[in-house]
Amino acid sequence: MNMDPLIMLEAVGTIAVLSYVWKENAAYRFFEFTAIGLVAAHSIVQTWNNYLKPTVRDRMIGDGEWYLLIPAAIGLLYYTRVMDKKFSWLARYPISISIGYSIGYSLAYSPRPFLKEFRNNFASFGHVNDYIFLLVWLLVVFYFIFTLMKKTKKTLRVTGAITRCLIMIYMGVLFGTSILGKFSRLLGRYQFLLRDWLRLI
Amino acid sequence: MDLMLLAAEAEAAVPKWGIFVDVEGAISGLLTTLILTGLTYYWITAARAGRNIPSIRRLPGLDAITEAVGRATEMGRPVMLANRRDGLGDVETFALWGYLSHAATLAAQYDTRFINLTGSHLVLAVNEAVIQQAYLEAGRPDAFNQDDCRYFPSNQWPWSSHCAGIIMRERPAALLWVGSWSGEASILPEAGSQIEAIQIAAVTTTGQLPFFIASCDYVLMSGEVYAASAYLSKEPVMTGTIVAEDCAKLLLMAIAVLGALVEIARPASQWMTNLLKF
Amino acid sequence: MFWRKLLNIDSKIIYVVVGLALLLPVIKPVGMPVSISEEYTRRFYNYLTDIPKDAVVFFDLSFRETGEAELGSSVLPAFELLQKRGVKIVCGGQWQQAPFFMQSRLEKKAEEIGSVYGVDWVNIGYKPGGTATWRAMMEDFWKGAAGVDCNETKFDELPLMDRVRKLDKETFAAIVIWQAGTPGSGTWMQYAPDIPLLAVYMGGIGGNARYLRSGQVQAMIGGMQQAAEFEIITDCLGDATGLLDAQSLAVLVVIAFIVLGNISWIMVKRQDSLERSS
Repeated sequence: MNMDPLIMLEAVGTIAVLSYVWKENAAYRFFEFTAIGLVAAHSIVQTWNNYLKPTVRDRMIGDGEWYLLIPAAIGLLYYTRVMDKKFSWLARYPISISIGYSIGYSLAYSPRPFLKEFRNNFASFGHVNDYIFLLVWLLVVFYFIFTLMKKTKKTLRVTGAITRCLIMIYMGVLFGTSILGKFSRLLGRYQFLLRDWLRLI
Repeated sequence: MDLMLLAAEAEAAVPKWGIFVDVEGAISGLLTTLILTGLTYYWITAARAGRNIPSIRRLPGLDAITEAVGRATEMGRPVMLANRRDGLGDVETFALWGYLSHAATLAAQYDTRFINLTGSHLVLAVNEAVIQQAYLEAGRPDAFNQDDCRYFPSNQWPWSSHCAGIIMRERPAALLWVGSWSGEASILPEAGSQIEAIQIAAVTTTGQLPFFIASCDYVLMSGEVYAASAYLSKEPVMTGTIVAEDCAKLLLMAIAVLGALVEIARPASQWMTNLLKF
Repeated sequence: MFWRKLLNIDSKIIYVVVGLALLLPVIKPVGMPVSISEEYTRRFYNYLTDIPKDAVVFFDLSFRETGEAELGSSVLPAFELLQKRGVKIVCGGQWQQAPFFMQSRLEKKAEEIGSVYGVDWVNIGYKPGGTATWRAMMEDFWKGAAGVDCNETKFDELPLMDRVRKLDKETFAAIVIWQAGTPGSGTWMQYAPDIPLLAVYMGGIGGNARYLRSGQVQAMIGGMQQAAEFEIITDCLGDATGLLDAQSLAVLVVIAFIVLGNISWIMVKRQDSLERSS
């Protein structure tokens, strides 16, 4: 057995967390709260090292980019939400800017990859699979039409059942794939326990 | 924020056609965005003006929310709605607020404890406001408990193990999983089924849907999530967006059929494909 | 009734049986035969071997410790294959963990094959900020990556980084991503569609096969099966080959449970209807 304290701790933690499968218990709870505490602490360190230090030390003080104080001040307004109602409305500004930025940024890059995938539906018809691909694509897109009822209701009833079957087949494929991924994770833990900790293999 | 500025001040790429960069699909991408924006603007304006726009069909999972909150009330156990990883700008978050408002209003009306878990401190601020508003509208502002709006950092497994722990300790009778999920999808609904809670999922991540289908009582998937949220909120903006989206889907279907016919009639001409590459 | 008992079997029994099915072959592997998939593994291998000598490839290690057994096992053979052929490698990651814990394994492998850090390969580590960071690196790699590698060594002390000024198709011959979830290959499809992309998916390829068809990913492998195939094709046997037996046995057990579960459901349903009619 490997008596390295870190390995021992990791092994105990692994077993404690796995014990949840049987029942939620004190050992699991101890590691659950430890993990949450560690993550909270880690995010503070990360923010300090990755954002504050390079921005304040390198860019503001080092390169004299003092204009960064403006976005910093806007960001700090977020904390007004814990203040009196007289000021708490100010928190909406950094939130609005964040929403606006994220939407604009993703919108600027969104259509291209989807167009590439979309035009693939009719790029070639050399094989029977190409026809099946297009047909399934059309059925699934049609299934996810939620309005325009008068025009689509009848057709939806006919195609809906077929599409649901197709979707369930796809779900089965995904379920199988994901289960394999979960097995890999558990195997990684077994390997750690048996090889790195107990040295049995 | 500094990264945003860095990205914004990044050096301009070589022009392709006037102001457009040399990337495949840059112009067709822009046109697509403009068409979608135009459609969305038209239908939102129509919805706001009170014109008769197509209505959203009712989806089966929606009635289940009322049923689930009712059951939680009967059992004297809380209702819980969780979302881990969606941030403020994510489209799933906008849908989340529709479900949050609806479920919190029901919980307030039935005098049932409502717990909300999130992995984003920014989303938490809005969630709190949405739940508080729901309690206010239900005429029970005093029943709102800020401590039941909980945030812990969204790191996948610590968040999930804490969420699973909360499920076991608080034993909610109704669980709602909303938004996009990762690998934790195989653990959390399973924890819910162990305590025999009614579970309703509104999930946009296709890859994780099978786990919710296996463990939950009702599942709204992909586009249904947004449509159901719009249906619940009755917001003209959201309803108009769904109608616009449906128009876009029909348009895409028409282009795909046209492209296929052209390709079958004149194989290897790639006429439509090249048009979309522009 | 037997079938009813089986249908209501305690999930803990299922956990134990599946857990044992995974455990036993880890202790005593069977050594199942593995055949190489032409469409996936061979194509992936051929793509890597076709990358010209002295080109630079980006390794995106987007997974955490839980993916080490499966994904980590194909990183080392790919690293060895490219380095031995004189292809330079820059490692990084969209997830925090893998770029750091893989560093010691990569160093060990580099020492084995005589690769020099800073000249033949560099690990820039995890860079926070999501897509905005990668976008910034596309314009100015040094500024976007904060000018330091995973050990805080400055880029100007690493000769290879002289050639890496932008994250673009002129600098990088390909991006190879090992992904356990999101963020993953979607980042590159959306923000760097011009750089050839190769992907290694956790669990299996599943729905991602469509990216191969659309040309958004040039070659892909997925799951323990293809990780083992890749180890064999590169003659660099590691964890995946050994663990494949365990996964295969567990899959058989799960299939058995699914079949038994469905038979039980049919039998119970039939008995219930018989009871009702009598």
